[in-house]
Amino acid sequence: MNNTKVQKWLIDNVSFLIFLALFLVSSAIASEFASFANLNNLLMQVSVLGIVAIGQTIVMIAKGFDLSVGVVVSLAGIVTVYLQPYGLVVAIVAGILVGVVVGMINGFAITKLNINPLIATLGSMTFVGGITLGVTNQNPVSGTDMNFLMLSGNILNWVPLPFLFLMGFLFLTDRFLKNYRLGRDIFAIGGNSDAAEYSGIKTDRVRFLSYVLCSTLAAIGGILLASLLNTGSPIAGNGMELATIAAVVLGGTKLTGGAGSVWGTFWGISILNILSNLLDLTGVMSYYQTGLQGLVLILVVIITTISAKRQKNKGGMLRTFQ
Amino acid sequence: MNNQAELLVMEHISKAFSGVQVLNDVLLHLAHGEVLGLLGENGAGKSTLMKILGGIVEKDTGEVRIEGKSVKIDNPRTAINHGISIIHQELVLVPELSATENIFLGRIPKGYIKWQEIIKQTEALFTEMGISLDARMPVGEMSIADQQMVEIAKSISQNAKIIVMDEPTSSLTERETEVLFKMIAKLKAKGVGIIYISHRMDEIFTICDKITVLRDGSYIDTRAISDVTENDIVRMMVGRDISKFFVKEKYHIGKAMLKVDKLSRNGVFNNISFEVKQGEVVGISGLLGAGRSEVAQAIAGIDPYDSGTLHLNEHQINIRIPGDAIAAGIAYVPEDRKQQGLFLQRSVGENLTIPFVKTFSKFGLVSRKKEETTIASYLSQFNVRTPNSKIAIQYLSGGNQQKVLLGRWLGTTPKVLILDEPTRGVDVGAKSEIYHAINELAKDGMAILLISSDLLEILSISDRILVMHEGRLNGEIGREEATEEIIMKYATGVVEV
Amino acid sequence: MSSGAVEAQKVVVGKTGLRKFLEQNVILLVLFIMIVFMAAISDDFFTTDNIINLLRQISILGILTLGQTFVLSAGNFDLSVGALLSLASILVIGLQPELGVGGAIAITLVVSILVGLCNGWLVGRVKANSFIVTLGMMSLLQAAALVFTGGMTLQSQEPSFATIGGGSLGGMPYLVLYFVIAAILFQLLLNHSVFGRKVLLTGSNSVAARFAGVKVGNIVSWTFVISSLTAAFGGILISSRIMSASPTAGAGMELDVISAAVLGGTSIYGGEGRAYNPGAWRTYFGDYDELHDTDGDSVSVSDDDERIGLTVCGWDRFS
Repeated sequence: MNNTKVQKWLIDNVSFLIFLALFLVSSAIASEFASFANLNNLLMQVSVLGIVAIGQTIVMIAKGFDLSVGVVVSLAGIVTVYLQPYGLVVAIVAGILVGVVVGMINGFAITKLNINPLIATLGSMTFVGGITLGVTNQNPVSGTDMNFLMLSGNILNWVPLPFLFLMGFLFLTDRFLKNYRLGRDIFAIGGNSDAAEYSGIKTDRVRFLSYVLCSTLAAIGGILLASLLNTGSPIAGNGMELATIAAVVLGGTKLTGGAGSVWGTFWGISILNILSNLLDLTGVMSYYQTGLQGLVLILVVIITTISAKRQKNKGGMLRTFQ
Repeated sequence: MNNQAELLVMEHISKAFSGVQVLNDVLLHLAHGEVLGLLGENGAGKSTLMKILGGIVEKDTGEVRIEGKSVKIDNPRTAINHGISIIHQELVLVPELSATENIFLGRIPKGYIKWQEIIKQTEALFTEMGISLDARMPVGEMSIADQQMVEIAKSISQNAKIIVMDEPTSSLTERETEVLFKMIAKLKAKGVGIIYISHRMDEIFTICDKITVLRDGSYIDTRAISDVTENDIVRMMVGRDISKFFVKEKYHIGKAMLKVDKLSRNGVFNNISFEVKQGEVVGISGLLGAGRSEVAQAIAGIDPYDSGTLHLNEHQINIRIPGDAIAAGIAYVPEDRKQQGLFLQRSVGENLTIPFVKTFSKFGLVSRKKEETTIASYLSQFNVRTPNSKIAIQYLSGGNQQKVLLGRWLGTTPKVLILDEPTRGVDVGAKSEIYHAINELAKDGMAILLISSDLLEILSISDRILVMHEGRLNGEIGREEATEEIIMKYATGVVEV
Repeated sequence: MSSGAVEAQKVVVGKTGLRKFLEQNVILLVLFIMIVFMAAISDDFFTTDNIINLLRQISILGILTLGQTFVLSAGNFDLSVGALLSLASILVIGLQPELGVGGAIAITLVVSILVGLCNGWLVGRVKANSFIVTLGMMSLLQAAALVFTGGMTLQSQEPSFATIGGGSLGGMPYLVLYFVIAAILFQLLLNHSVFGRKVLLTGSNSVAARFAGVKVGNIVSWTFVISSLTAAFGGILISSRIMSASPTAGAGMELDVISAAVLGGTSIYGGEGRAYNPGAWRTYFGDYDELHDTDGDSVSVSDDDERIGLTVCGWDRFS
């Protein structure tokens, strides 16, 4: 391997490297960090947010945004808990359907009505959020079926089941994005929608499906979270839209679309979680966690904006079709 | 294979965009293994015709036949399925994706993709084409020339029967052009028909078998290349009845007002020197991408320049932002009215006064009364047809919009006025009004720089014509000796200075 | 006469006088109908107390909306206003023991200007996406507010501070006066000043604005400073009115503010904005809340309504 290759590898894997460094530092300065209980707890925290962030990654690769993931997490959890009396399968299917429907609404508004994704999903965020608060009268609902809790239990007394789900979804989505036509089309419409269109890709259909996938994954995350808490809470997913966007951007997905990976997002989520975990363990107030996310988001957006500008000025860059 | 029906016939093709006829009963024939040069001035309708062929634009009337069968092309997909591939002038690739993926974009097989196999196919294709490119490299990291090769590889891999190349050499070096020509020869030998759009005469005579000329959206003629000379082609492209058009009167020409000395911007334009005198209209002609607008925008402070100096009225001026140019007395009326000039949803009045709205203000508040008086006087001076000054400017016709923009820039009381394609998309009536306005301004001693792709316009209102070719000045022609043929020769690089 | 001019004539002739006015001011009509409706079904509605109370409720949100209108008009978003309101309300009370009321207010305003400059620099100069920048700023400020108080609510010990937001003039609360004055000033600034003109034209087409000599980066920065100042002012007023400050007082307010501005006729794509309409819109919501309050009903209905409103409006305006 020559120098440039090493450089490229380092740049491509920067989020993993930051994660590794953080992990080592954390183990060194906080003795409880590497304890079983703490690691188990960390894996659990990463799992739900990670699954939601996978969906956000898909949408952002296609040059979109989804601000409604947080309320989908809440509503899917509530619906699943509510419908437990009709059987777990029915309840879970209904919870997933919440995601499918919200995704279809987002996709419809964005592709057919041509509404800016930020506004469309902001709209569905407030709309669905309103429904959620209305349905529950702002109170959390408690589960009645103990079998539901197994979804978030530990396997072999060590690994939380949701973490296995996360790994499964990461693996599947990664394959899907890399080795299946629809996945590649998602990259194509994010990179240059005109080029995709001229090559015969049905761009509206691909964009629509990206939002459905995202909301569906958010719903699954919401169901797992409800299982963990044995509660459907109307505020369970609050702030997840911000956290997932931060993680996706941190994981190397371009704000301008066309590039990114779900594993990058996983490391992004892990970094954010370890950071807040470390602050917890070292006795720093938990409030810093949001602040840190904000800071990271601003720093990353500055870096990506400036580097995009540089590339544009470098010449040899692709001229876009008008 | 040549005893089959003719490869491509497009007949009676017409197309209008919002009432403007861009193509009128156009005809095109292409045989197997033939290179057809499609020629015409900017705006003659070549691109629209090719967009119809590629399924990007839908035709209003006419018929397309491929190998004798009438086909309906209503989206890019069907065009590709019929074996039509278009290499756009502005390349259409996804910068983040690899060469391989761009080549197979939209045609990736269903099911699990085995990239190794597809990459091998791509590499084989590159070897066959005789080019050495990394099949895994994102095209955004490649040079423009390599990106062009990827586009061509894409066409070949689609087994295209008809390949359209729109100015494919505009960003290639001579050696790269040679590689392209070899590729075209190979494709010809396989029976592929190629439609080649170019402004460069030498290329057309090198590789085309025949030419079809369009002018103002109409079909002019199709000739075998061996039957025509360069001059014939130029005449077919520009030949119009000149007499009914405006001819500028000549007024007293004073001292040099704007002096541009050795202005350069890396990779865009190089070593540009000229001057514009009081009462003089200097035309800048040249092909698309020759760097005309870029020079003007550097003078107007919109884009930076790397070296060179500017003098206005014998004082050196330093221009970094548009405000500097406006303050110094340089006004630039931009080429792209919609993107760079108009505030579409805002009122006619606001569009008119923005650079000098300060002059109607006291303590930062705009005096509507004062402003309205000035607006009214400009609107009547330029004969802008608008019900009132409050309506959004998007409801005005192109000509009236342009007159408002002209008024905007004259309101800054400039010493130098730069007009970039001032009559593009403007109807004949407004056109002559704009010419008269230019005439009057010159009479009053304004120094005017006129950029135009319309040769007739340049010829009828310039006192002196500069021609740009590939980022440098290639010729200066006095009003008396200037003809369309001479300008075209300088602009296409047939004659080098 | 060219065909374009004829077309223009038709467009304008078709929309003259009253009809044109109503089309541009639909929200006023809605407001009027709402008031009539309220008055008809609720006896308490037209009492002086109720009207004043209602106006007081809408004032603070209204002031923030006025600031947001500038940011939106220039084609950007400011999502940090809710968190900045929280931080300002905390600072203005938290700093009182050391700096006194005047000093605390001064520092609060300075902090808000810095926040605005920071947002403005990132969006106007660095050209970063305003949505992401202010989303990040929102969590930074939220964290700052929480850290400052440790999550606690602060109480003001300075009785003089209460008059700023709690006082009244001839029965009319100061809050309402501030809002009315601010609405007049901002309307003047947005639609009658050189600065406002530049803001609106930048939002309409920033490239054309640059070509016309407008210093687009500076204009954008100023809009963020204005928005931040209104948020800080809102925070000071809230603290003064209840003499205490919670670090989450403004949480979620950014959304109310944006929807109010949008429904008041400001385009989120920039280039269109009116300062007086958001005020009208807030009044409409105020009405709604008030109705349910006086009828002893829950207020969540109006939340839903607002959400639906935003969505519907989005379809209408941006499709």
